[in-house]
Amino acid sequence: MNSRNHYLQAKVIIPFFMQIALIIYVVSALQLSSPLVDGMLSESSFPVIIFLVATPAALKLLFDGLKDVKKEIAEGKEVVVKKKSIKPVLTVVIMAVFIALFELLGFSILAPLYIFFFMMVYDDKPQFIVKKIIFALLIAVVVYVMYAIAFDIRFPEIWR
Amino acid sequence: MDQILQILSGTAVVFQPLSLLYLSIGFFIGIIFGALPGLTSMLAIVLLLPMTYTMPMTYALIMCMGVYMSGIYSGSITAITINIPGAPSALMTCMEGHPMMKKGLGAKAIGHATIGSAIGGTIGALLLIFISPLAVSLALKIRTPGKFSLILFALIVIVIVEKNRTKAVISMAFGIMLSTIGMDPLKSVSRFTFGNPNLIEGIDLTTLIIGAFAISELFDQSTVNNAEYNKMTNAANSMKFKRSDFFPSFKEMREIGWMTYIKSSSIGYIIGVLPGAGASMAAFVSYVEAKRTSKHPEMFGNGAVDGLVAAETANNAMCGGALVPMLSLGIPGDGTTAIILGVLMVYGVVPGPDLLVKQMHVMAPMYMALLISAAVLMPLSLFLFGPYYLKIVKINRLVLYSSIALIAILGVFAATYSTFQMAVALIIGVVMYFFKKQKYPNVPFILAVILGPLCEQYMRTSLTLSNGNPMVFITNFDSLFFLLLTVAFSILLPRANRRAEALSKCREVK
Repeated sequence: MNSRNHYLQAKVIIPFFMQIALIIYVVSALQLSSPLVDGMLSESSFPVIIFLVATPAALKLLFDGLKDVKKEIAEGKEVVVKKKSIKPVLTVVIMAVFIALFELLGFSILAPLYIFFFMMVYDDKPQFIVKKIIFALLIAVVVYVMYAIAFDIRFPEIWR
Repeated sequence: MDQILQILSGTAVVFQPLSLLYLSIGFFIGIIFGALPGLTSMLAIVLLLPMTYTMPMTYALIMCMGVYMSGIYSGSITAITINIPGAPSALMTCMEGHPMMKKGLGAKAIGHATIGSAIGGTIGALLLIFISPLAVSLALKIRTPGKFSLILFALIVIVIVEKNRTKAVISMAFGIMLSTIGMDPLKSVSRFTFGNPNLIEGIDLTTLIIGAFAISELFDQSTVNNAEYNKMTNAANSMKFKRSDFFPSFKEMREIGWMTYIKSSSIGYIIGVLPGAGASMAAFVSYVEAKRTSKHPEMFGNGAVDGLVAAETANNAMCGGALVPMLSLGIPGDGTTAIILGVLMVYGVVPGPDLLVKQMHVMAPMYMALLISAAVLMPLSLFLFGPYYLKIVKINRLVLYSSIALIAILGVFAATYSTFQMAVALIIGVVMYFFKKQKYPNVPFILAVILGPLCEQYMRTSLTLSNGNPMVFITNFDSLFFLLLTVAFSILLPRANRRAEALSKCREVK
């Protein structure tokens, strides 16, 4: 049995990364100045306080997670690797592509494509393609009218 | 008295055609978002946030009140019909409402929930109107050290009321960390920008809110099986009720007892005042209290109408309570009021005790909008639209979520005109998705985002004014009061939580 899988669970990973983030946070703060300058609180003082408050919580969660994992290993429990849905990852990819190309291609081209692919990911299987294309166009028009006409917000377009 | 009159004068603004239009839009958006499992009134306000940039603040607040009140109520619709709470606050409603549905009393359960919500919402809004001026006059006496201690009190209470306090601390720390990126509030120094000029102005509040609440929810909802969802909602679609089915008889209401309505409203209102407690806790405490004092506790869990009424009355009364600390002290009572405070901040309003004094003319219609939203719940839901509410779940899920996905991401652009901020919203959404999966609460996050920078500002200003002497927090009476209150709550709240848990376990065993 591979014990590495046991340690790669969210209950261990999240507090671990939170602790790393807290260390980077406090080091960056201390690089700015000492928490006390001439007896007064400086710009790094509040981040240091946050670090001091959150670190015990992150370490507690980390040790609790590690304790659970050790218990699982001792009991010979297999990590049940559930067949995880790829949909959240696909949703992130669609959004990332939309953001990356938004200023380049503009609203009119990207928005209907974004909605179409979003519906494809949200659906159980690729079906009703024509219906989805029509809905994608309609939603894009409605959202455009709402933002651009009703609230006077201008989006990037390929022609400007 | 002057302030009460000023608040009542807001009625004239609310009854203007455009105000009524915004209130109606907010009301029906709230009904739709509250009734659909997975969507909440908080998410509705999150999505409306970027749109409020271009409208007058009064209309934005009026619309928010409509969403807030109706969104809390409509969570009961799917809770009763298909046993899935439309909003988290309707969890206790499921326990009694769905068994009533199975007995063929679904319409009556919705009727009782509507009446309870309307009574609770109205009492909560009236208490808000009459208590706010008193709270404001006290709040005006708070000086800078006191403001720091007050925020400290709020931040600590928010952690204490959460089930997993360690995770709440992490969630709060993450919120504060993000809110400290950018310019220092007191010096012209940029912090945590890592050489990226896009971060000098910090992460926009809209970016944080949309990332944490809308985008993370979209990732979560993507895993829902569409066919299964349709199967569940088809049950609600096939129901046919006549309007007359929704009306409970006067005799039934007398059996529930007026005291149940009044007591549940009071519980909901008081819990609403506590920072971070929210509608779910209001409904839970009120339900447990109704069960404790019921003449037939054995009925609870099998369709006890007084349990349903207690939960629904309390969660709507909470709305008025949650607005008290927000308006008088600048401390949000729950996640939704935190977002409403975000709406105020979009307009450059600084949350704090002098908020109402400086902005009363703009805020007054908001009180009346809340009251009207509660009052119209009954006629609109029972006489006009009740049967149609059951059809809300018929809305095509794919169309709804893809629209939300577009509105959310464009909302960040509309607020910031920056694709960098859109990318930041996406990253925050991913992190908050993992937090949510591991049951890290998100209310401490949003409250920390709003209160964190103020906490730092007041702490450093107080110490600068006192030449670095921390005794300033003890020697100022207002500050000392809040510090003592923090200590008292730190001792009493966990005890009360333990007692409530033990009580509910004991009842379950019986």
